[in-house]
Amino acid sequence: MNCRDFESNVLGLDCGEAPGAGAVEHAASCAACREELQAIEDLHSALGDLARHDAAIEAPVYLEASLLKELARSGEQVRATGVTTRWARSRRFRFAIAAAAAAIMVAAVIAVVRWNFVRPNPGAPVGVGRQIQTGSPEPGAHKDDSKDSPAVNPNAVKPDKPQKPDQQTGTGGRVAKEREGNKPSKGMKRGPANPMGRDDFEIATDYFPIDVGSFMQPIDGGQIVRIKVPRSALRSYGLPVDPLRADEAVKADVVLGNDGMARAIRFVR
Amino acid sequence: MGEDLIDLSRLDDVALLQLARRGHDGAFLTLYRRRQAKVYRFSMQMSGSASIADDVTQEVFLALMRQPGRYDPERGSLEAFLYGVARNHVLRRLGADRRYVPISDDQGESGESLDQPYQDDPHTEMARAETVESVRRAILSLPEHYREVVVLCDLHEMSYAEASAALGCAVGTVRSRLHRARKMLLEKLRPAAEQEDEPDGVKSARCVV
Repeated sequence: MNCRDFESNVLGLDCGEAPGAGAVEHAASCAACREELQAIEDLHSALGDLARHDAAIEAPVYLEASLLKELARSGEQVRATGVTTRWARSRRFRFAIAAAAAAIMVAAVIAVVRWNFVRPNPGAPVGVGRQIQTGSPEPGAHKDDSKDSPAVNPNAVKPDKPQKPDQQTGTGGRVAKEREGNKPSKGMKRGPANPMGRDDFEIATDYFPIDVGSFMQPIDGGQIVRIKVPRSALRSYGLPVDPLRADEAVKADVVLGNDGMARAIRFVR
Repeated sequence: MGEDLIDLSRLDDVALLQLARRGHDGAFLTLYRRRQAKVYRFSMQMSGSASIADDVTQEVFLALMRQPGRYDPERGSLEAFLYGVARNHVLRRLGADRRYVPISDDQGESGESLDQPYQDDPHTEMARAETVESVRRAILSLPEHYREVVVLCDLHEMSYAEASAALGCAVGTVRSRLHRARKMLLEKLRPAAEQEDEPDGVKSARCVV
C-alpha cells in the first residue's frame, strides 16, 4: 500500500472504525502517514464529540405549540371547506366539472336513444308505422301453433302506407312475417316494434278484402287499426280454426279508408 | 373511534403519516416529536443559526402536514425525506441570506442553543468544548455540498445509502464528497495545531527569506 492508497483508505473510515491491516502496516513504516492516521483519528474523535454535544439539541417548545396551532387552524379549514390545500381544491374542482360534464353527456345520449326508439309515430294510429321487412321465414318458427297458423308468406307486408286491397288480394293463407326487431336497413327508419314497445316477431296473413263493394272502390288513403276479433273469424276467410280455441281472441289489422269504411283485414299472431 | 385506541408510539413513520393524512392530529404530533430533533439539529449544523433552524423545522413539518402526498415510501424512509426537505430549505435560506455563514467566533444567537453544561473536569471540558467549536466552525466553513455529507454521515451517523436518498444523489457521489470533505476538514484544523507546535519553524523560514 502506498501513501495515496493509505489516504484514500483512512479517509473512508467511519467514526470508530479501525483501519485495515494494510493501512496499519503502512503507517508503521511511514511517518507522514502515521501522522495522517493520527489526524484522522483525532478528527473522528472531534466529530464524535460534536455529535454527542449536539445530541441533546431539540427544537424549542414554542415550535411545537406553533405547529399545533397551525394544525388546529388547518383542521378547522378542512372541516369547513372539505378541502386541504389549494392544489387539492383545484384538483377536486376540476374533477367535479369533468364528472358533471360526463353525466350530462350520458344523460343526453340516453335521452336521444330512448326518444328514437320509443317515440310513437305521431300521425299514425296504433299499428301503423311499423317497418316490416321481407324475408323468408325462419325455420322452426311457430312450431307449436301450426294448426292455426296459415301458411307462411315470404312476401313482405309494408303497412306504413295503407295498401290497396286490390294489391293484396287473393292468396288467402299466405302469411307475411314481420320482423319488427330487425336491424333497419339503410335509409329505413326503425319504428317501434309494436304498441307495447315489445321487440318480438309477429306473423301476419296477407290482407283479405272485407267486402267486394268496398274492395272495388279506389282508396286514396287511410289508416290501419289493430283490433281483436274472435278466432272463429278466421274461418270466414278460409283459414283453419282449432275448435277448442275458437273462443279465443286473435289480433287483426284492419285497413280503414278515409271514408271510414273497412277495406281489408289481416290476422296477426 | 378505533384510531384513538391505537398506541401511536408503536407505529412506524409511514403508518403515523397515513393516520395524519386522515386527520389524526395525535399521529402528526407523535411524528413531529419523533423527528423534530434531527431535523432541527441538521438545520442548525448546516446553517449555524438557531433562527434558521427554527424556521426550517417549522417549514418542514408544515409541508409534511399540508402535502403529505409528496412523500413516497418507495423512494426512501420518511427520515431521509425530511432531511431532504430540510436541506432544501436551509440552502434556500443560506442562499437568500449569506450573512449567517461562515459563523464568527462569538457565540451570537447560535451559541445560546449550542452551549451545554459541563460536568467533568473543567479543564478537560473546556478543551473539549474548544475542539467542538473549532470543528463546528470548520464544518460550517465547508462548501455546502461537502458540509451536508459531513453533517449527515459523521454527525447524524447516516449510511451512504441513506444520505444519498436524502440528498438525491448517487452513493458514490456521497462517498467521494465525504472523502473530500474530511480532507478539507483536516486541512482546516491542522494549521492551528501546527502553528502552536512549530512557531519557531515559521520564524526561521522567514529569516531565511
